[in-house]
Parts: sequence; C-alpha cells; structure tokens
Amino acid sequence: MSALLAATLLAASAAQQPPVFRAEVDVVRVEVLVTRKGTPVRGLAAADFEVRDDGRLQALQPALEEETPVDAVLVLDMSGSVIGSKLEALKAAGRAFLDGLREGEHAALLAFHHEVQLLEPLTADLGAVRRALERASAGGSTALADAVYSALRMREPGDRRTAIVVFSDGIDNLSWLPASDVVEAASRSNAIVYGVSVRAKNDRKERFLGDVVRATGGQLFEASSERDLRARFLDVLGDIRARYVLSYAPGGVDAAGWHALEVRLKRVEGDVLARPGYWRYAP
Amino acid sequence: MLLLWLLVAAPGPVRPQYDLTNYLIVAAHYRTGNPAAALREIREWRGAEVAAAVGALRKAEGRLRAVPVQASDIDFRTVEAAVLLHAEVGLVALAAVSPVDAETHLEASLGLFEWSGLAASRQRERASPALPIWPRIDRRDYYFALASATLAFGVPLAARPFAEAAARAAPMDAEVCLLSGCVNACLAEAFALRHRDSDAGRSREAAERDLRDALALDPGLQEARLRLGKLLLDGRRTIEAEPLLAEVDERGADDRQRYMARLFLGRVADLRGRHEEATRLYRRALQAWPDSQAARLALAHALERSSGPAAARPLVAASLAASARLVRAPDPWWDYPFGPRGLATAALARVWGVLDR
Repeated sequence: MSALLAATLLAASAAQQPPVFRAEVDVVRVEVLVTRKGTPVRGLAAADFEVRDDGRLQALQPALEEETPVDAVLVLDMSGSVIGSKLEALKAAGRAFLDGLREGEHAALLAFHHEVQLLEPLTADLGAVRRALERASAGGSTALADAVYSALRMREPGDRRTAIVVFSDGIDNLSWLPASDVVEAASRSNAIVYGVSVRAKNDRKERFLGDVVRATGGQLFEASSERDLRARFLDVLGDIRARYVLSYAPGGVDAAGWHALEVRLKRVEGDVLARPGYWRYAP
Repeated sequence: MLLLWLLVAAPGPVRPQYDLTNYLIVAAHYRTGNPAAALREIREWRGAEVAAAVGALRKAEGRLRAVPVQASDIDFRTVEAAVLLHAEVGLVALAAVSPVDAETHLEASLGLFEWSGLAASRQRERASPALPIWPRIDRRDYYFALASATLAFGVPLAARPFAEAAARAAPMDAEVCLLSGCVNACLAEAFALRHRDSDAGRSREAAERDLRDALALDPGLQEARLRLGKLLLDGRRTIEAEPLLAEVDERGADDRQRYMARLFLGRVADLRGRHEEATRLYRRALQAWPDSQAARLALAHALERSSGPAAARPLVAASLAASARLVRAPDPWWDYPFGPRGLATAALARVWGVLDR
C-alpha cells in the first residue's frame, strides 16, 4: 500500500514539472527482483516478463543480464550515534559486503555526519575501499538526505548497474536539502538505493530512507541490533545478485516526462519488486 | 570466618583519602599549579566521594576567607576553582557522551557555585575582622558559559536550565536573550524530530519571544535577526522572514552571517516559487563561503530543477572533492543549530579567566 502511495505521489509530483532536459534515457533498464514466499526466484527468461511503460507494452530485448556487474556506492552514517562498538560492527559489515563483490565490479565509499565526505571514489581497487573504511571515524550530526543526494549525483550515469547502499541508525538532523526533494531526485536516477538501519528502541523512525528506497525499487533491511548488521549487508548483496535486468527501447510513449512502469510475470507466480517509474528527458 | 572474608574481600591497592583536605589540594592545583593533574585526579573520585567532599566543604563555611591567614582557613579562590574544576570535567564528560560523569560534576559545580555565592554574602554580613569575600565568578557569565557550552555540544535539554538561570541573573541582556533563543530553537528542532509536536511548538514560541527580546534590547544584533528569520522560515512564515534575512545580507557583521542569510533567503525564494532568484542567492551564498557544502548542494539541486540532473553533477563532484581536502573552512551550517560560532569559547574564556594561572 505504501509503495503504491509513494509511486502515486511521485507520479503526481512529476506531472507538475515540465520536462525540458536533454535525453538521459535511450534504453530503459529495469532491475527486477522476483520472490516467492520471500525467496528469490531464479532461472527466468525475458519471455517470463511483461513490462508496460505508461501502460504501453514494451518489447524486451532478449538478453537478460542477471550477472551484469554492479558499481556499489557505500554511504555510511558516521555520526556521533555510531561511536563505539557500532562503528566496529558497521566496518565489519562493510568489509563483508566488499568481500562479496566480484572481479570487475567497482565500489566507492561515502561517509556522512554533518559533512558528506568522499572517502574513496569509485574504483575497481576494492582494497583501497577497505582501507578507507578502516580509517573512517565517527562523530557529529546526521546529514542523511544530503548524503543520499550526493551519492545519486556523484557521477555520470553509465551502462553499468549502480547500487547505492545506505546505512543510517538515526534521524537526519542537519541536511540542507529537504527529504522530499531528494526522494524526487532518486526517482530521476537509474541507481537502486538499498537501506540498512538498526531498529530503534522507541518509536522514532526515519521515514526518508524508506521513501527513497521505494522510489528506486530497492529494499530496506532492518537490523535488530548492531550484531545483525553484517547479515543485513549480505542481504543487500543477495538482492543485487538475484535481480534480473530487463531492457527495452521505449516505443509508443511520450518522449519526455515521468514514465510509470509496471512489471508483471507472465508464466510464473511470484512477487515482483522494481522501480515505480523513471524520468525521460527531452532531446 | 569473618577473618577469611576480610582477607578475600580486601581491596588491592589502597585508595588515598578522598576527604576535604585532599579535595582542596586538588582544587588549589587546578587554580594555580597543575590543572591537567587536578583534572586527572578529580576524575578518579567516585560520585559519592565528590558529594561527601562538597558536603564537608559546606559544613566548613565558617573557615572561608578572602585571604587565608591561618592554616585552617579555606581560601575562597580555591572554592571558586573547585566550581570551575567540576564544570570542566562535567562539560568534557558531556562531550564524550558520559552522562553519569557529566551529571555528577555539573551538579557538584552548580551546587558549589550557588552555595559559595550565598556563603560569601553571609560572610560579608557578619561583623568580621576578616576581609570581605567578593566572588569573582559573575553569575550571568557562569550560567551563560555553561548554557553556551552545553548547547555547542548538542545537548539543548541540558542547556535550557542554564540559559534560564542566565536570564534570571541578567534579564535585560540582549546576548543572554539571543542564547536563550538559540537553546529554545534547537530544542524545538529536537522535539520536532521526535514528533513531540506540542513541545516543539512551545519551544519555537519561546525562541521567537527570546529573539524578539534580543532585538528589542539591541537592534544592531544581526545574529538575533538572522536566527529569528530562520525560525520564521522553518515555520513557513516566509513573508515575515524575508526582510529580516535581507537586512542581515546587507548589514551582516561578517562573511558567515552574510553566507547564512543568503542560504536562508534562497530557501525563502524557493518556497515562494521564485526559483531563478533562489539559484542566484545560492550562488551568492557560495561566493560568501566558497567551501560551503550546503550552498553547493542547494545550488546543485536548484540547477537540477531547471536543467536536469546533468547540471547538478559538477557541483556535487566539487562538493565531494572539497570534502577530501585536509584544509577547508568548515561550513557554518554544520554548527548553526548549536549557537553562534565562537560564543561558547569566548564565554568559557571569560569565566575561566578568574583563575590565577
């Protein structure tokens, strides 16, 4: 229900803004997770999917790039709430995630507290990312929305898949950018945002992370404690590995503006998770 | 059996005497001798030992002297040093997120300060051959320093009683009103983040009252004008906020104030649908503070809105590149919620200046 609401809100906000930008989407790529009772369904082919772009059925390209390499951007909360054992648990979780990346895959490391800091730019040298992670220290306020925006816009969109993995254990208390603007910016990005949080003792919830994750078709994983962080980071990796990459050249739809996406399974049963839509810019 | 228990339960190293004599030695070291050693020593004292020493000192009120003559006399300046010793340990503990130690020492400091002021007053009233005792720590300055420091450490809830005490000590002081406004505005934000809307509303109203009082007492206090403008902006009262922020942009005391005013004016323009003006204001904010991450991101997002994501990327890249530089001017936005930059440092220096170091 909430995902539907988010998609509706995004579509509504998109409708208010005239698309006047240059083209950033020639081929639309949709990363899709199919699960049955929570377990990923593997072995599907392009013919098992049906994709509608603004209601128009699209011809999917035959290649189903399940093994497409990923560029992973780790965006880690290094504010004062992480000081101590949680920081060590977070580093261990980050290391486990990096260990799971494959040859030819890239990673970058952003840390945020009051400032968003690029600790290691996107690189195939995962050892450099690990070393940057070990050097990271914690302290200060939490500028979560600024950090997510920086990760979304830190580089030109390319042909590679991009996964932005955001960890935060607290409430954003310093971002300059309004959370709603960053959620909208996320909907304009090809990247998938994954969230990892630690369950709060009280009812305080950071809604932003859930909203931005839904806008990109990602998932939010909640750790029950800091000891659980490593497992949740590996869940993110599992999600990335289980995604199908569907692609098509949009046909029969308006050139510019917000495009609502609908992904369905044709011959098999399962739950489908994909981004609710994408922005296409006028040439 | 009892002997066996005593042998088993016997502590390892013998702890020194945590009594009034040693307590005063530690405080005297803090005043004139070796403050670092005094700080190390007092941290070894348990909460109950600190409370016992403070209690013993209060019972020895009759021995307080402005200038000690006999060996049994207690130098009032040493008592004031103890007030500041506990305050320093408490503040450091607060910054290190050690709430128990912070409470122990800040309470000891407060208790000693209040009692010593009254004790000095009573001594002056007594027909005494001794020199009258005049406290050197000013009440307004003491509470102001603790309020500004606890706020700077990001603990507005701890800062509020200090700010209220400073306001009681100096009700017609514009700087005190400004500080109180900062504390209440920070509290309002903290409550709002926790969805405590009625508490947030009350704190916001108190902050507005404080900041308006500050401006009434000192119309040239641009920091109060800046913060009142931001407070109104947060409440979406952009029509009221704009002229205040525009005045700070024009007459701000320094680059920091002009930078903050332009950043806030940009948000005002955005909220009022004047996006091109907002973009210009963010550019001007960046001119005033070239290392500002907030202005870069604000400008990036403004350009994205008008020209698409590609327009934002060079600014985001520049923001991240700047974050990797070792030497850069910290963005004033980062510590804006915690009071005017440098206020706590100056306030602490003023109070600690009474020590004969």
